[in-house]
Amino acid sequence: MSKIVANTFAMIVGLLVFLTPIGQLSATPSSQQATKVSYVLENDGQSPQIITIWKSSQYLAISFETQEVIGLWQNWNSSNPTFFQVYPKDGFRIEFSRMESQQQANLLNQLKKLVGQQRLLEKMELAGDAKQFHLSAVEEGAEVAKTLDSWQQFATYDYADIGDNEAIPELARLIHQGFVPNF
Amino acid sequence: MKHTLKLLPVLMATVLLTACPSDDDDETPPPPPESSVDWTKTNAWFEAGQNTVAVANDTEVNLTRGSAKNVILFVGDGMGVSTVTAARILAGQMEGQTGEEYQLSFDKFPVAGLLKTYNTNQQTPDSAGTMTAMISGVKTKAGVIGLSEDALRADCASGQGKEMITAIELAEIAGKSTGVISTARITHATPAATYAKSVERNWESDDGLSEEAKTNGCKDIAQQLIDFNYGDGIDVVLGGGRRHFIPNTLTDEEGKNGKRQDGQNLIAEWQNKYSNGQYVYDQSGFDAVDATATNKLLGLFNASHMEYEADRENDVAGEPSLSEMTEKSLQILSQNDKGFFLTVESGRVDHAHHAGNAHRALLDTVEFAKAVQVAVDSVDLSETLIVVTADHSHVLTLAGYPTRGNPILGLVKTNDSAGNPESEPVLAGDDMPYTTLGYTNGLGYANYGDDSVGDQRYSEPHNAGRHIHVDEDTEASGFHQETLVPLGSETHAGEDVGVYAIGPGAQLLRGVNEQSMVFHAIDFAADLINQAEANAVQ
Ligand SMILES: [Zn+2]
Repeated sequence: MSKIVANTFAMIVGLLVFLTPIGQLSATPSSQQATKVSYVLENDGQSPQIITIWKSSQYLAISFETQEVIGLWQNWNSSNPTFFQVYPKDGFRIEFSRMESQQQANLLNQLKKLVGQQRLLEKMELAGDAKQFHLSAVEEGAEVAKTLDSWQQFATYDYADIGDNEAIPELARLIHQGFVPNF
Repeated sequence: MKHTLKLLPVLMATVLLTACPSDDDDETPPPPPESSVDWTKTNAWFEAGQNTVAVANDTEVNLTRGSAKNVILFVGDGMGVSTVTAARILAGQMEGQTGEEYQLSFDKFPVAGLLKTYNTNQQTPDSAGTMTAMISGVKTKAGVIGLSEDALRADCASGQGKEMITAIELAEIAGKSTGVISTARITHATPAATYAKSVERNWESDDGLSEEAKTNGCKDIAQQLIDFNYGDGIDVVLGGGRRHFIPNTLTDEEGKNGKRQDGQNLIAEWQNKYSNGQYVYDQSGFDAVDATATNKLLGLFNASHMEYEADRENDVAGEPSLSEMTEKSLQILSQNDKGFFLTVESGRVDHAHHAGNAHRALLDTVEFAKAVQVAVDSVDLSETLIVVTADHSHVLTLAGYPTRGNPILGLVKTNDSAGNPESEPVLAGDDMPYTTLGYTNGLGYANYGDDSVGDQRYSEPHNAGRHIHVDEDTEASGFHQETLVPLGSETHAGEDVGVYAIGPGAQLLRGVNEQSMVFHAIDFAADLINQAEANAVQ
């Protein structure tokens, strides 16, 4: 598939997801045209860090160089995305089915600006020019899709059920391993 | 008594081999599940409960077996005595009173007692073991649903042959109408214990099953709800948990994905099975249900748990309240001349406590009390036993010496030396004020004000110790009480819970009882085992 065709396809799938009306049961697109993007984030006065972003029509995920936890949105381009904290080392996910803290909403909005369009931004500035993003690497294809798919196989617990799962001590530990930060 | 228990296997064999006669409605019952259950097993817990009832029957006047045609079991998940007291004060204060003198609906019941909640392997219990005790009359392990304590948690093979019968199953066999309501996922531990057998409470859909479970043929909890074949099937099922019924390739009406990996749409299966049944997923669909023309109702109002009462108006598609669900269910179930058995769970008192958020826990408790009042107002109490209780407590305390009428969610303002209220909050030894309500452990302090969403607390690390200041709004929905011991979430507590009862057989729950006694009191009052047996051999 040529880049242009792929991009057009991604846009159509994205539109389909976006246009899915609330109020009826619908099939989610199974096609996984997936992209992995790295940016260098320069933050005033701090040493630059690499952030990695995974994107498919259904999923948008981010990991910070300094954090083990990955933030992932399912149906990220819909009006009601579902947020997960993914812990690849431990093979767990915590699902935040309805939680929309301002921090999460801001992060998703900024990510959408960065990679949500059909063309990835080469460069973005936030907070005046205090924070600068520079595109450093792009990877596409089956391997990336496989990574995204592998996370869906992890044992998943609802945040609201952590308290009732004392028998799984990893859960309480994981939630304190760190949260997905903002830029 | 022995006679009854010995006849149980006969009863079950008959039911499993023949279509059960049922006055419930006109539908032909589908064939029974293949994994038939050997009901010969009772154990020490079961016999102890039956014996307690037998002794009470000798000493109590006005106690007649089978005098309750209908039974309603209300369970406030995590609604310990401190939660009831605090909710009572809040409910009174919401009506402009000082609060302490207020009576919640079930405070007015003539009978109250205490239940010992421990699981067979845990001093402080969880909902799976406790609801199994209440609905099957047998205590079991934490995390285990509908199986005796011989089963090992999350070990499918260990549970086989350890299945216990439930009051809902008996009521169905007896020809009564039945219903299960919860504000949690309907596959969550408490509601699941009414219809499912599972060595692991987290096996809510097939994606949660272990390889061992699949190999040994254990079914997920949602599947068991749809497969339920006693009598003519459960008549009313209302709650959350839609995601466990639909494939992970489907997005539901609120934009959330299913969980099932086996591709099954169990909602469609249910609709096939009950061709005249009604499925609803939002408030308007629920409101449109004509109770007089409906005898099978499935309502799944959220992908996961339903909203907290405090957040309900923000739900995407809209959801009914617990009292609305109770009212509609009673209208449907009460059409059966043979009576009904309804279980109503307020499932999220527990979740708000786990998050350290007393505000949401108390508002859900107040709504729970409203639902109980709806029941009291809709039934004939001369033939209906209503039992209200909790599965376990939480580490919520009411502390300090707040003056009479002090806002229950507020900072402590004490009395002066003459016994008159002080105008400013009292300061502790660290020169900081403190709230009446606090938790012994958990995530601890946070204050998101009034614009918060439920469970937002889980997005930040724990923060134990002292943090509040004198002009803090501790009554805001987003205020999270201080805690001592930092944990990933606040925990259940091990002290007894209250049980409140009214109607025929209520007095059986007086005193201090094992939690499994709830089943045995209900069984005596409604004569479930004998009626099930009689109906099955007709
Ligand atoms: Zn709990």
